[in-house]
Amino acid sequence: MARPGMIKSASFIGLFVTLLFAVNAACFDAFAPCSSGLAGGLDGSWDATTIDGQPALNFPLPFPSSDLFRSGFIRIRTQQVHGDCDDPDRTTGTAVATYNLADAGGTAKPPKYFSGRFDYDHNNNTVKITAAGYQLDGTVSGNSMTLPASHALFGTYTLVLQRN
Amino acid sequence: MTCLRSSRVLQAATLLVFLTTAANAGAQTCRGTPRGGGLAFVRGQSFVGSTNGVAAAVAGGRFAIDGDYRSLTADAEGVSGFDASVRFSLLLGGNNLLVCPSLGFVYNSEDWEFGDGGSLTTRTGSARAGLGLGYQREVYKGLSLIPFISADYDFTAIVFTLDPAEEGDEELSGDTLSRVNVQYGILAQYKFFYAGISADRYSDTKGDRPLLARWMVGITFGGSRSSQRRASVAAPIEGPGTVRSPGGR
Repeated sequence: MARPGMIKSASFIGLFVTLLFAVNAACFDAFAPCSSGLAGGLDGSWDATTIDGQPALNFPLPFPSSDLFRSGFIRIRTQQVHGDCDDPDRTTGTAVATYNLADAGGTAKPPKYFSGRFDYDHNNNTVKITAAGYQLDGTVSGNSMTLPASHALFGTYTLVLQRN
Repeated sequence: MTCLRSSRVLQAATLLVFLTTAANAGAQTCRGTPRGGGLAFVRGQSFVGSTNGVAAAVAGGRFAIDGDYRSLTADAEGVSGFDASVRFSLLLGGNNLLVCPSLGFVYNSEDWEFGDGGSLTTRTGSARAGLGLGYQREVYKGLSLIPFISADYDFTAIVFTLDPAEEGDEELSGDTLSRVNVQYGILAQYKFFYAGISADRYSDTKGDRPLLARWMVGITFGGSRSSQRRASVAAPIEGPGTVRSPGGR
């Protein structure tokens, strides 16, 4: 009497396991977020190298400021990956910008910090950085990032950063 | 210190007793646990890293509450954080299909240490409103499968707190996002035990892959075979994370 029940149970278990494997195979991508090891991401520190084509160090910021630019960098950390993990469409995350200025006499001023988010379009190599009410729309080419920036105090300028 | 710890243990025990008692009152829960609610270990995975935590759900009559807490183990050095969520649901429907309008809140906190002594804390809060669908089907004696899907409108606010290595002028900002979070998955329940998987994607997510996946293993509060036969059901536990998050996160 027990044999038919055992056969039935074994058949069901076999069928269920097969179904699980099938579902897992079919739906793998739908349940598998990208993990670390992103190719082509912006993660790391990007140092300002030129402003309006001139060396960033001691660059006199545009009117009305009389400050000199000393150094600056943007730290970037990816938090979300959209699309193919090996060739993503888009990555988003956190960005923190730090820059150091000196007054016209050369005396260092306290560093300035901006915290915000970035959105990088891998297909078009464009990056949008949103911080402290400002939005910078730039481009990325290899290890170089170009950010046309506009600031109420410092006017409009083009910043080029290199990956550190 | 000892007194404080004892107090927390007592609070946790009281909460557990409350949850269990409430669940035994013939409750049924939507979005994340089988009928009658449950308590589960949850492991999540996103680009940032993995999360481990607990999720619980209880219900009474036509109302349910569920929530979870997950601690982040980040892949990147210097990153830590946690997610927590709570949700209230109205349970509609009958036999096997359950429809659940819900209101909830998801909170995510993530610390990023730069390595030079500075750090950035990102706090993300999302108010969430949406609809969930859960369908329970007994496929064999005592074994039920419960596919579920939900769509929620998320209004997310992000606040940054910077603790720089060198004091300076901080121009801190917040940000807001509006998007739809879609969560889908499937649970398998056998008597008082259940296990399942769910995934989250936002309306701005591109590609096939979700932004967050969760695996859960737990026990139900009302999972006897006889009660299941009377039952309808259910859906996933929790929200993003990362935001999970933001999120998700």
